[in-house]
Amino acid sequence: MKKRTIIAAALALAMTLTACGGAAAPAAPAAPAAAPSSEAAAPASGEAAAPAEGNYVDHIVVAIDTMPTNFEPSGNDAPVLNRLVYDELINYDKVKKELQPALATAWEWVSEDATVLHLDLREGVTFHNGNPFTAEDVAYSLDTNVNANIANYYDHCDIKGDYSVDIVLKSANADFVNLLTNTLYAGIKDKESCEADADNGSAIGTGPWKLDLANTIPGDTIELLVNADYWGEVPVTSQLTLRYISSASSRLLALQNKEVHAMMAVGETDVPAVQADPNLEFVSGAGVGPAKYYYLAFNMTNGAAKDNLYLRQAIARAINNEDVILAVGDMEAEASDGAFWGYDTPFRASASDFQVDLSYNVEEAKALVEKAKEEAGGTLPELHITGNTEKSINMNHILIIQEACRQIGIDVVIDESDGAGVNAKTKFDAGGYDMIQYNVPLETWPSGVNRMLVYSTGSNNRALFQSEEISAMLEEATSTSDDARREELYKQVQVYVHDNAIYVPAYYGSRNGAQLAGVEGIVWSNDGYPEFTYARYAQ
Amino acid sequence: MHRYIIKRVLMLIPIILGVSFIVFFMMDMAEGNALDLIGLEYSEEKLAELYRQYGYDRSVFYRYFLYMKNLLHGSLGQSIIYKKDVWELYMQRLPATLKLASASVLVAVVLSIPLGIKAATTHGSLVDNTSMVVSIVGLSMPNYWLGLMLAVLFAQKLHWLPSSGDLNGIKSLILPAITVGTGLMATMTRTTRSSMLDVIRQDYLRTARAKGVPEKVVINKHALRNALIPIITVVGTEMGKALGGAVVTENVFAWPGVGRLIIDSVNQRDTAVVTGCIILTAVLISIVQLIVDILYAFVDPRLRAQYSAPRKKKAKAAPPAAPERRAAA
Repeated sequence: MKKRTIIAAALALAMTLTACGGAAAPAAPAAPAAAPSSEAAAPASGEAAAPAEGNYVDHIVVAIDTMPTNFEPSGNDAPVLNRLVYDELINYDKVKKELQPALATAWEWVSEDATVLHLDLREGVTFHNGNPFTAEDVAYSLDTNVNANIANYYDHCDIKGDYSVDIVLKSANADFVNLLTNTLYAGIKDKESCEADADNGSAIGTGPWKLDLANTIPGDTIELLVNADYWGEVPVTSQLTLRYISSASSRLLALQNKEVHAMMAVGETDVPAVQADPNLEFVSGAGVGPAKYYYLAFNMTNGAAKDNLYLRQAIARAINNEDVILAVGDMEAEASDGAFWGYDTPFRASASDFQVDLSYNVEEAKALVEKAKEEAGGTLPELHITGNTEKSINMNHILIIQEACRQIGIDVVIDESDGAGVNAKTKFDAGGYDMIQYNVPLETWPSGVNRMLVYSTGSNNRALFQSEEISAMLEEATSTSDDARREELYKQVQVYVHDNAIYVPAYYGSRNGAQLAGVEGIVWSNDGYPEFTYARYAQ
Repeated sequence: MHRYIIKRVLMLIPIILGVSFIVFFMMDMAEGNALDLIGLEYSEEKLAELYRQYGYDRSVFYRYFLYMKNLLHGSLGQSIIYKKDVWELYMQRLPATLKLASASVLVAVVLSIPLGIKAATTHGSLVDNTSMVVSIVGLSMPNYWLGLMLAVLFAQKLHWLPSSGDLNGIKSLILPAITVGTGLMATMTRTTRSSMLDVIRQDYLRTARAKGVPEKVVINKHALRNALIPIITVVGTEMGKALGGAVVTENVFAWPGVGRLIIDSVNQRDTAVVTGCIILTAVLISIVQLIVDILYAFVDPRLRAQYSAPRKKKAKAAPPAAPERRAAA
């Protein structure tokens, strides 16, 4: 019996130890910095493009808060990954705020009505599998693009040569050049590998990092290896790991324990601890690029406030955006001035353009409530507000709205939901809410707003706002090349939406992150999607 | 025994049917679907094509019928979110789950059984009371809190162990295994103690002692063996639970296991992944339970005899007595 017990114990121990044999630790040995392999124009990315000197660790690990799910650049909603694996046709430099060559070296509209765009393509670029990049790949990538921004306008490509192509649009879009700056809308894939392998062919791009699918665990870890043949500046780090850690506290623990070199999205309550830690550097995208915009929207299709302008205006005037910022704990956030454009983007209305004052004023709000009651026949209904309440930043915002409404005598019930639930609710035929708290990353180009919030079929039109007049104005603004006319149209749209209190802007959120002191090369942008391409860490 | 195993395997059919039905329809009752989540920026044509492809333009019954049809052909379906086969996704996560489950159970067994025995044999003593207090504390501590506290101490403060992931071999396993194992240990300690207390007062143990059998042998050989059935049951049940994925612990430690995959997929409304993973987990748990049942036979010779005995034929109803005989009587 004793012998049997010992053998059983030994077997159990052996089995567990065998099971415990894991992969190698992420801490990688030192490696000399790789020299830039090409004299071609480096992708402009501000700080990231600075030449790196000295010895850097071989392997960078980053904790991310949202996991890229698949490897189709136009359908994965994963700009963080796309910027590593794929190249844009045209680059938008967030720091210099200008367009720069990328896979396309030159571009021009060859038709006056902005329907045919000619591109000269970069020669000598290869995909990760060694295939040369040509105009065929551009045509294939745009033909198979599933994103509405491209698909709604793109018609076909006329291939003029291996490195020359005309993009023909169904209807004019003066912002189409800007669309080509985003890999999410126009990431370039290898036609040959996509046709040969429907599942993983689109994982091959021309970008500075190549996917290591063999060591990637979907939903957990993405492994990337440096593309030593990259046409631009080759990163000095040879391996990059993106680790999905959903809990903000766990991400911070991993950073403090040096298991990762950088982390996205510091929890709002953790910010002071990060700022006080001499080994860490708190970073924020505040002031860089378009902001992520948090708002309250009224359901304009089937909500209780859709026909009561006074009620909407009363609620707008009852909310103090400074209180909202305090409640959500985003200390670098910028309170909205009422416009719903990304700041630092063209054609943005200012507070002086608005004809109705909707600034915070409780007394005025109470007066508007009385008018709203008259409009409603004496009493106001209980309002239902929803949003992605799983995230505390949203829930805190909603609680402030609820309290502001209570102060002016309006009862608000919170209907809790998650991301998928909100998407289901905000369909034109669904509804089931009167108000919604949400956010949207605003784009750099003017028609981005068209798509986002007020266009009749806009994917982020959480107000379910439908106006043929406004949609027609936005269509015209998108199609005209006359900047003065565009400015006038966009301003009119913004004033209309503001004065009618369809969206009540709250604040421009500052997406943040943290990194170990000494980490360089990460570009933290304000839309929540930092660029890790040239992340490096001195030994 | 073979007949018993076949019977248990056949029982998997109603289990799979029941589990798939419940999970599939519960997922459908949740607001939203995976296509709404990923298709926010898709063109209308592409979204309509995907709706057709995954049957979202038809009723939930039609989708369930499609799912079961694929299941009969050996396919657990494809993830809408990851665009991969569910089987492939599950198999990528299973090693981490097996690793965590076996390590947690091992931690619990190694600590709880000696503690439970000691508590029972020193019934009413300080050791007994302390072990009970410890087990209540272990049961009361939420895994989320315990996991974070362990990570703060051993990762953030002492820098001895990693706080997340499965990249550092056995070092990565220690904190999650202790976190899950603590809860299991508490249950197992209490079960071992009460089971031993039941056995320890039996006459045959008194006889053994009277015959001069050393106390160590009385406890470890005679008492423990007879107390093992409830302990094995608890170990099997806890192992089954752990195989389902220690969801909370996996999230705290960013452990790449099945539980985390299921939770992420519930949030993403990826019905095929949730249903497939739960079916496979149910099968795995059934296998563990079968192993537990077989272990009973090894531990208890009476059960072994029951398993091995030929099936008794049903006794035929006695023929009614002949009226003549009854009359004669």
